[in-house]
Amino acid sequence: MKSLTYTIALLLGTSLPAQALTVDELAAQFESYKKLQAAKFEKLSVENKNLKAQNNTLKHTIENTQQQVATNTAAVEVVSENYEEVGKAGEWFNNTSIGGYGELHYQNRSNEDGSHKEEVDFHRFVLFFGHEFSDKLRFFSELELEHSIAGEGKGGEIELEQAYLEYDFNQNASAKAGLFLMPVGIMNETHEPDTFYGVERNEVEKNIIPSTWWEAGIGGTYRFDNGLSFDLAVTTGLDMDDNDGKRPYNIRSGRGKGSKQKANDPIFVGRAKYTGVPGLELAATVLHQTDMGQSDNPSADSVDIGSGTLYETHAIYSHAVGPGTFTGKALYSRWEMSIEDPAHQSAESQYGWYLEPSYRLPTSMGDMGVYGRFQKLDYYSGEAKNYDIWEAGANWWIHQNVVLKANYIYKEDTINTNKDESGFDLGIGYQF
Amino acid sequence: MLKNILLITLLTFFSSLHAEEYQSRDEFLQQVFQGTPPKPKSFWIKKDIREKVTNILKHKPGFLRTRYWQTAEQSVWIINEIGKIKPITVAIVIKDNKIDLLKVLAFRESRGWEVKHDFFTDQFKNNSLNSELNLDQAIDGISGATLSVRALTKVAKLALFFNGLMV
Repeated sequence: MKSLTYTIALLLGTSLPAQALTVDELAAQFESYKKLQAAKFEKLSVENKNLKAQNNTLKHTIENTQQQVATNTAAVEVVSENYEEVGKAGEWFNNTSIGGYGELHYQNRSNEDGSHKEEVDFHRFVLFFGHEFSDKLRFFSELELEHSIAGEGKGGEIELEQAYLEYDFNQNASAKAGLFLMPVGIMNETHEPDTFYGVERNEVEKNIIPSTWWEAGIGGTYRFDNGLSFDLAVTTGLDMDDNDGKRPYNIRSGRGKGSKQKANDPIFVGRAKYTGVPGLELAATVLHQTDMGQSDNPSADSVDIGSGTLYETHAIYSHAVGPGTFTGKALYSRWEMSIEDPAHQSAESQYGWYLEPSYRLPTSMGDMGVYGRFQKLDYYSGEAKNYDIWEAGANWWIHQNVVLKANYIYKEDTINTNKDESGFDLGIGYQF
Repeated sequence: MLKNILLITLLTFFSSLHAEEYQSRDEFLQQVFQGTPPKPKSFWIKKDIREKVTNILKHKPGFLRTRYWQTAEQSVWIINEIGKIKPITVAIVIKDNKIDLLKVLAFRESRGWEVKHDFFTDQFKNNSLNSELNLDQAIDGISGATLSVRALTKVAKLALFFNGLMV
């Protein structure tokens, strides 16, 4: 009996009482213990049930949260897509672009004949407007105000230099129609001030090509994958008869600029260009006009001129040298014209060429570049004009599209004595 | 007469051509990942990197995030950047923090078309980004295509920069 008491006591986890309990007492104690455990069990069951309920709630919450995150992510993607699509399509103005460039010049020039010129000129203020009708059809235009003020008796002009439609047949072939820049020379099609050295544009392309030169017509371009491309165009032509007797046989004065321009005789122009090696451009243009005087409808003071052909070729090579980039440019252009007037025979052949080495160095304050240029120029403007022009200077790009320029120039008149000109130019230019 | 012949020749030449498609994004990915491209991920231009992105592009980014496709060996980034007027779509494949391939998927500008050809884009191969966030090998430009060249260079830098943050 005593051993049973010990056993129950051990089971109940109690120490052996000092005085042994009776069986009834032990049974009562055991019942009490059972009730206590049952109560604890009941409490744990309730707690467990509550925890399960809480767990289910949390599970649902997590599922809802995950669903919400997925929904939000999808919504953000849609918003992002829409944000990025705003610039690509939709309303007409999303397919319309505006750009422009401008250049302000200061010239300080002295001539051996004693004359001196100091002048500030906002030479060009240009706005581009373009519109993309579809992926393949677009419009592009360039409106220019030259010399700041235009109007009766003012020195400036407002000019529509480009206004054409361009259609892409595929990624290699395109055609255009309208008023466009002639495919010739280095500067005629790319002449934003931050793309070239020197405050003023070079005089060879200005007087021989003559840049900036635009005509009305149709043209096409085909580009091969190896970097070779061809341009062909038929355009309105020069009118050497339309200068009111001033500067006869001067090529630059023959530009009609698409303003009530005679269209009796067109220009046929073709250009081959190779850019298949990075940094290299080789190009050649041939341009022919049968009647440079548009004489199907001659004026009273017609000049005696027949056909004319322009030959132009140039090379550009850029390559990284040290921390910067070396660029060399060379251009040769020549007009051959048929002129019967014995007093102006030397106008039959007008030509010019130039060489321009430069070095551009990136710095923490923007790119800095230095250049030198030699130009040989033989053109005609009522009389022969021959010059050897030496030039050196620097560009500082304070932003990739904003440039400050300075150059020294010496212009030697190789026909007339005491007519050499020298001086310096300063300029600022931008494009956007 | 000559004028008429030339006109007819021009019109015949161009009307005989048929439109070609640029390589699509999906075609490019199929090619790079040999038929099994991974799912795309989004790389968000968060506030902490926005300034550096602006420095690389020289303007504020016109997008909130960019898509990329990544495996253990390589990552592919497809980014748009405007040349002069219209966006150029460029795909860049990066392996070991170097450009393995740069390809122009869509070119919409009138000028600067040379940048889409292999003779130009091959210059980007094996280029990486230095600590000043510039390419460590110089890229020779193309005369008359300055803005397009600039756009591709920026995109190349951007992809290398993003990829560096994923490592």
